[in-house]
Amino acid sequence: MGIRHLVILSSVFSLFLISSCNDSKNTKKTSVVQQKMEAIDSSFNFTSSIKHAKGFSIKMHDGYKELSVLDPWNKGRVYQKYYLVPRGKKQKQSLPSDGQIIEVPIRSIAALSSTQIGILNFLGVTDKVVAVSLPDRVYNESLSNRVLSGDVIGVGHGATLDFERIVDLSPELVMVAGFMKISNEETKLINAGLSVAFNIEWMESSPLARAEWAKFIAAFFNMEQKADELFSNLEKRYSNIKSIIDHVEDKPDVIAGYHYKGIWYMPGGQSYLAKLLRDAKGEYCWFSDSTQGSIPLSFEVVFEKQVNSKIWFGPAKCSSLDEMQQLDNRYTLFKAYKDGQVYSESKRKNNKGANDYYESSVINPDLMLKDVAKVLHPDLFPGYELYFYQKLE
Amino acid sequence: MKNKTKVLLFMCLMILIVTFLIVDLVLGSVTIPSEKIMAILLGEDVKTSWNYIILNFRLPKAITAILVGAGLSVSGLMMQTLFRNPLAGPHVLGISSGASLGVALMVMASVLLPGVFGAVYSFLGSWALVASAIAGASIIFVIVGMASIRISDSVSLLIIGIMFGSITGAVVNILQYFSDPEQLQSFVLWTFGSLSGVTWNEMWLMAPVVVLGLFLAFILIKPLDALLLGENYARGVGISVNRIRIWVIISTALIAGTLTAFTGPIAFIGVAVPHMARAIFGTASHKVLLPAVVLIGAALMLVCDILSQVPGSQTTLPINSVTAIFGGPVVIWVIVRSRSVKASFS
Repeated sequence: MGIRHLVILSSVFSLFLISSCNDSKNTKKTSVVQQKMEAIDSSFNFTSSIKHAKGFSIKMHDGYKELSVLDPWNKGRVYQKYYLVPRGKKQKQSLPSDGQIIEVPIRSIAALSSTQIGILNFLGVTDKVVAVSLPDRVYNESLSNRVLSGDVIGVGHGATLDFERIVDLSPELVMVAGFMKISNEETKLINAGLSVAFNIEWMESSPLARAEWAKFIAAFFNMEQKADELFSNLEKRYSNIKSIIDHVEDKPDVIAGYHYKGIWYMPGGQSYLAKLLRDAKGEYCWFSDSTQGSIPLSFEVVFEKQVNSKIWFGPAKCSSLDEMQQLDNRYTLFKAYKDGQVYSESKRKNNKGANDYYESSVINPDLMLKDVAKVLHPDLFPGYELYFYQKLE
Repeated sequence: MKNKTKVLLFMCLMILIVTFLIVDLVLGSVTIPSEKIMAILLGEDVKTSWNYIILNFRLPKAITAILVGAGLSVSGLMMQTLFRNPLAGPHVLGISSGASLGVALMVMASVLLPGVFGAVYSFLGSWALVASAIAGASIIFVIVGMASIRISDSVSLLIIGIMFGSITGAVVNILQYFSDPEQLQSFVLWTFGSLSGVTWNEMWLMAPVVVLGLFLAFILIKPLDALLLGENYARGVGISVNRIRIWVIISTALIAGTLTAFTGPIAFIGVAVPHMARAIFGTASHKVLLPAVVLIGAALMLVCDILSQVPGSQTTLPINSVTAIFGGPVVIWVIVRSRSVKASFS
């Protein structure tokens, strides 16, 4: 594929050389070609500044781009480096050997994590997706249709990755969530000649930082300029919402999570929900905790500290208060349940059980913040309807 | 059983192994025509992705199956002889549980103590999992080995091994209790066992060690035969029971510990295949049984791998489930036909 493009480009270029000896009647044609080449170059040459995300960095060099994913578990170390070159220009460079060399823009991608689908939709390139991990969990409609028509296959992820199918498909990029490189699967894919992008957005510390990984993905598609514009708008919306919230005085007490067999899985102080609660001015007694996932607490501790919490951000699998009661009768003892103030992120579920929350929440931090703020302070944003969350009835 | 019949049976088994090997190479989630597979094996470059799949994925998987089948069956046989217990298997000494503990610490505790483990596995890279399994197995091996020297009675050793298995299992449970869903899933999937995780790089380490362990086992044929008649009898013919025990433990640690480190714990084969061999060949002599379990184990494991591909569909089943679901009825049938297992152990 690269060679064909190279031949076309070079034959066009040589036409340009020959015709430059001639006159102006050819200059119109050649200047169009020149503009096109400049367009390719300029979309490659645009680099955005990264303001919030700490997990990756982009550096422009002469003719190639260095994209580094940093290791969030080992401060200061690089998890993986990528050297992006414009298509067809690979042979002209002598590139460092400590990273994966990828020709951009890529034309096919295996998106093995739901949040990536949301970002690819944001950039408008879902048509380049050729594989997902769990096809039944795809919410995005156009992608879902392509799954049904067979254009997109399911290959699992992590330890259940269907190695044979993905090697046979040979997408130009495989994007994974990258968990501490514990499983060998990604190394095996790289050894098989595939390019693997580790997208560690979920280790970022703020909602905007997570959304900024759209620029990481955009670099592979030569779409950094568009990503930059879209992200700037997103940033503005987020700070507008935040400034409206800043005027609010009260901070309602919040409980979250669910109980199972003696353990209450409470979202930790560094979880996505906790960060939104801070920005949305909610009070949460686990703010000082440092885990990103859930804290396993005993039912008694939760009962004592949060039985009178005003609002409950409950489990996504429940769509009604009845379902919650059936899960555990003791939920009915909580004030939030009695007042009917339980909310779960189950509003955007399709009939196959796919939940848009997992796809789109990362790339829509402004809507997430607005949702959480609206739940906490119903008087804010009059006329706004909750997008991801719904009140359980 | 006459010698001629035995030889015939051995030849049949070898033919079966070759057949199953070919079938195992043909099946997979991507359909590759068999003529192309022959071409690829002979060195022709058919299609990059197909070449890669056959040579770097299916072939090492099939060889792993053979090594696992042969190795675990031999360890199981030795364990059953050493402890004179038909239910013993290669994991009975707790060495495989040690490997599990090593892996559990690597997968789950590494979030609790990021600094320590971070440095360790960024140094080891993709070998981190295997290294931690081998480290865990080695620690238990040393403990069990030292116990074996102190203890004169095999039953006590068996109980110690089982207790260590329980202790490490409990520690693993605690780690699971406190870990995040992703880590938990990672670890649980590891415990399901997998033949497809071994790359050629890893094979260079795994195969020689396992073969060494098998070689050790073959050297121990005569003493094992003597042990079968009772420890007093063995001492009577001049065999040092303690020394033989240590060598058996070393051989089992090399085989079962190494295999578990690379493939995860694979249950059932080690217990079942020795019984099948005894029933088919009608003898308890290790001179016949040792090669017999190697061949039967390899063949059975290849069959289980073939079945786990669920021919005709895109899904694969975890290997541990297949070995138990398929192997269980086979063992029952074999034992019912031979009427008695106890005869081989009195």
